[in-house]
Amino acid sequence: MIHHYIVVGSGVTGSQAAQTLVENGVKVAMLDVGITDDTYKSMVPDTDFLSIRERDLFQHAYFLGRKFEGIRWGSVQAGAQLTPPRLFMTRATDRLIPITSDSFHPMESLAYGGLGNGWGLGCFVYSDAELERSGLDRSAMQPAYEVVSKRIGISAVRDDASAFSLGKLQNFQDALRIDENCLLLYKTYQSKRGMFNAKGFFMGQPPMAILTRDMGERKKISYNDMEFYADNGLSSYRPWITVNNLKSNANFMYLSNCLVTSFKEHQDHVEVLVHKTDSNKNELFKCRKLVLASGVFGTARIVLRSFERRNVRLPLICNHYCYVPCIHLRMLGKPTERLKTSMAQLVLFHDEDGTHADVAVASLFSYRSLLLFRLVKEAPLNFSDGRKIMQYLQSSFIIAGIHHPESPGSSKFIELVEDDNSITRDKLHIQYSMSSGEISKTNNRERLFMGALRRLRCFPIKRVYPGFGSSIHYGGTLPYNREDVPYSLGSDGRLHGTRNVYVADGSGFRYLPAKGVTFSLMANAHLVAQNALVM
Amino acid sequence: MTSDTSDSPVDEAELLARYLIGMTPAIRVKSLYEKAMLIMNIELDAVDQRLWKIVVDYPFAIRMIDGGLAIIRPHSLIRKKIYTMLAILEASPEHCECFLPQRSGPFYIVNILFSGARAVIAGVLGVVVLKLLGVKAQ
Repeated sequence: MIHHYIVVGSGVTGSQAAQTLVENGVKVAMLDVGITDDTYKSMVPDTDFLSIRERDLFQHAYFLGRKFEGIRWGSVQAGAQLTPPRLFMTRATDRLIPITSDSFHPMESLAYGGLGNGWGLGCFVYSDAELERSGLDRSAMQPAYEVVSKRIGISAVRDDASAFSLGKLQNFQDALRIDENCLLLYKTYQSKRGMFNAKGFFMGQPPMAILTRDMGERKKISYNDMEFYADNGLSSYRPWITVNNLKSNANFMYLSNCLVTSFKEHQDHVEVLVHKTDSNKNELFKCRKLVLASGVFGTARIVLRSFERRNVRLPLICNHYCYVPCIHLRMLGKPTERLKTSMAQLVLFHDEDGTHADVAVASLFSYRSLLLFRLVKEAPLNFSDGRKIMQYLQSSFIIAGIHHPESPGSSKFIELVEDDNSITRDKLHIQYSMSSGEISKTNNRERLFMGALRRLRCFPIKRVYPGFGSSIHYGGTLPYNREDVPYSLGSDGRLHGTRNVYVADGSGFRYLPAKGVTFSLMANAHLVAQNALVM
Repeated sequence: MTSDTSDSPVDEAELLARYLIGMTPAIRVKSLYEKAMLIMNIELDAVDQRLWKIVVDYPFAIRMIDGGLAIIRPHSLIRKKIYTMLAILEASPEHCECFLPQRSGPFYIVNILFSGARAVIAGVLGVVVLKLLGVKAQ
């Protein structure tokens, strides 16, 4: 049997690419490992965080994990915010897709819905300058953003930050309600707006893939502050929602337990080699066109194996990230509201030169539902007094997650190396370091952010660096290139050196703007799928 | 649950809960702590075993030793035990009032300053004691 289209992966890009293909009437088979959560899925009550804290005797099971896997010891690393019900996302990655590195610790997923299960839900439109630097088509991306926005549902508002976050996007619902902590911060910003704008800082609400109005089976947000633990009501968008809907279409076939390892292109079809994770046997699939959407690292593995190139180095980019716990003085001792959201409520952009081409961003969260014990661990205090101090300060905590834009460099690369212990006989080796110029620039920028936060009466306590790879924004391994050179993509997403293999994930992005990459990944995946439709 | 080093049975959960929140933990919470210790199977090294024995024999010293370790050996497994109990207490409705946000009262700032000062003193004394005991920084 020869499938018309095979899409590899069910994450944010695979699901959008598949939807575009299916909506255009072609037959699609999605190959995915598709690990699901069977432990916590129905365990988390559909009620608000404080009610759970006050009443549920079983809360330890999902707050800490049935095997206490949510109590992590040691330094903060990538995925520190993943709670036990989200940890299934990373299950089996060590065994099936091993990575070796002493400088870079990425997160990958073989789950149904991929990394999208833990996505922070920010939906940022890239500026024209950012699209150009990333290698994306400016004129095509704008309508693609609209298509994806209609599909997933975005809440947003036009404010000072819209020029950086919303662009010209038209389709969105009303914005989320801001809690008292962030509202006071926002009011302080508004009272000093001229000064902040003059220094290149712009604050507003982030566009979020969370519903404020019902949309089909999905309900509007209930502000139960449990987004880190469950998808009750489906108000937050997750890619598996799209795949679930596609399953009811006769043109769509979902095949799980399929780890795609390589492909081989023939005259009229593409052979796709799959390792079946349930039987440990290999299986061959055939298709007319192949769309790779297994994430930057997954796609790199498949491409390198397919071209039988070990020890070829591919470039890699990943946003540098740190987070800064702060005390918001105006909230000291104030009660917090019962109903709120756990996700980012404000964003502070810094546009150094006013060109929208080199923008850094801090996402601001009110801290509560990830529990105090995680914060207490980061303080150099005994746990007893640390607990008491944090409890008193809790209502005034703001966590600022600062992301920097990232460009390629000679010391940022991946390569496939031999590993006899791996089922694919290889593993990915990653080397990542920033130049002294880059380090100095990010340091200066973080200092500017911390100064801006202080002017908002929000006092930073420390900077925490979870290490390279922790932003979970990856790209650049197969950069877009107008020239037909190996290990690059054409502007239509086609892998150079092939006729019918397309890449729909972030592998082609030549530059990663600081603002969240996910919305642009989805819009680009839609475009790549459209291009793959052209015979 | 008994300590790894003590000759007599020690109620670790009771000891740690009294230290962390100043009260006896619910029986359910004690069982959870015991279960967590079984699953985590924390094996203390020689240095931690010696310090743990001091904690068990002289419970008043726990704040000082914890404070000192927080500065010079923050990833000590003794602290992992205390941290585990802290997490379990927080995820228990019986003790959630010790973790939920506090309303401002007349002694709000005084309480923060008192806890802060006590933490600093405990940390400094703890470092001195650990150095005297020959504990090296990690």
